[in-house]
Amino acid sequence: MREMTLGQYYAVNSPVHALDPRTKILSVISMMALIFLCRTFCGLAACACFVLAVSFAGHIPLSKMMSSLKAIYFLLLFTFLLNVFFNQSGAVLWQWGILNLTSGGIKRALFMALRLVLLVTGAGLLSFTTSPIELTDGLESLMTPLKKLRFPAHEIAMMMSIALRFIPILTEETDKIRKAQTARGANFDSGSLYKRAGAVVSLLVPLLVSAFRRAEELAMAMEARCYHGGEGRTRLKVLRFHASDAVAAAVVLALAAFIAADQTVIVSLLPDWTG
Amino acid sequence: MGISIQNLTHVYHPGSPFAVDAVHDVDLEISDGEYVCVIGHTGSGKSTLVQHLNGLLRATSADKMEIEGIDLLQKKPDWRALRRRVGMVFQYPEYQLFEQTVFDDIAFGPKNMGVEGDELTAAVRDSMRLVGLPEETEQMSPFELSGGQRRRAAIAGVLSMRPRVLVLDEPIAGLDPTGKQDILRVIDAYHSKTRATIIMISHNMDDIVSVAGRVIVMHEGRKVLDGSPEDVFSDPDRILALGLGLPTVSRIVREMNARGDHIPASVCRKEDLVRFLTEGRA
Repeated sequence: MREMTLGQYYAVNSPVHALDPRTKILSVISMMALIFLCRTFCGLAACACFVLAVSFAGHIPLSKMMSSLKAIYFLLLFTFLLNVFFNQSGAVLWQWGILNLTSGGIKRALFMALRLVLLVTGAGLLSFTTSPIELTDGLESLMTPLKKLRFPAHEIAMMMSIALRFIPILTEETDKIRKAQTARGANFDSGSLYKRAGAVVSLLVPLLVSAFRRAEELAMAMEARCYHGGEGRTRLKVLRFHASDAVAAAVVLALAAFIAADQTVIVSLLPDWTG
Repeated sequence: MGISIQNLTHVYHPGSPFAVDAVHDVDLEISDGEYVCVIGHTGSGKSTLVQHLNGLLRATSADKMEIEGIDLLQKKPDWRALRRRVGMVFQYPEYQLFEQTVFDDIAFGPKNMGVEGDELTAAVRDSMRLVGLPEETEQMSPFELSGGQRRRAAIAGVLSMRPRVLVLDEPIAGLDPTGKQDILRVIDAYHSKTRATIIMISHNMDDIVSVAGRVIVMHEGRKVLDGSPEDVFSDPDRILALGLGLPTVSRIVREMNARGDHIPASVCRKEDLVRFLTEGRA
């Protein structure tokens, strides 16, 4: 029940969910790099196939994938229009005043839009299939080499997991305080701006006070159990690579190889209409 | 006026896999001036039930919901009037204090209801007196008060609206014995002074038998028992089966009966037991 409010994690059992979080983080980073490096539709199509295949293997419904695009509808439209009208290569298809619609412009706009869609859905795959806790564990493990440079990897991971842990608690608290103030006649949804601001203050002040109180209690509890940072600390769930991680890495490498080949072959054969 | 509810059902997250049937088919008739205690195990739906009384939750379905003359099943009930008539004190109410002074905090409710000027001042001072907050705390920050005082200030913030129905969700949780008695006395004083209806959720059976005129037992979203404390506790096995505790006196009676006494199980108050033992045995 509580998990519901935690990020976008889609809790099902699938081979993708079972992968080591480090594998998933590195794969997503490489995939994003590939999407940026790739300059042909063919390469993007390969990336799209990859994203679709992973979402299928991860039992993520298509509707869920599309919902991650909600946040960028506007950006998508903006990018598309900007590219359509500011790229003036190829044959002119339609003209109206200073607006020129060219074949090159349309291609370029489609390319950019597709790239954005793939970037966002690809990143979405990570948050759909990896719980926030796994994600922080994975990040901490990946950042470990940086500790040599005095980078506080453990501390950052700990802060992230505490912050995540507190989201549902504070949500519940907000709900409680909101109800209590509503019962005292505070109105959060209607009324003048001045009145509504007053209502929000009656919500924020107790919330802030309680956040500080909880932080203090947590610090005390950690200290009482002799928490002293990451040094020499063992963990309950040790991250281990399995055979499936090797398979995943191989798939990503194959994708990279395909895009590299595609780049060198196609670019040398066709005129460069993307640039 | 009073409260009249028929077939109230409340489902959290309806239609989702997380749907929870929190309150199921509850009928409730409460007349003016009653002192009702609602008891039940954690998750029995008692908090959900009482939050309907001032519209913080809306029924998923109900055949009748009439509270203090306001029909809650109509499209747009007058929420403000309802919330003025039905005051609600939540668990740990001191966590909702937010104003810079105790006075302002207690005035928050009535101010929202449109009370102003001398009337507002009078309402605030009255409720401060009622809960026993000394006048010099008026201009203090609520965060300077002691724990018990903070709780009383928060309750004063609800009483200052002069609700005709006062709903309290475990108002004495987490207080020391003196603090508990103070709060119970405040509620009792408000009850006798204004003849308001009191509806209190509580876990302390001893307090319940000493203050309540009526006890409602909730179990898994349903109302399973409803009657005077004598009626409700007269079947101790049933109460224990519902995962609830017994008042100390009922426990003593049970123990004595197990050893061969014949005290009626409905005896649940100290005075009644003493009377029974002194008169009945003479």
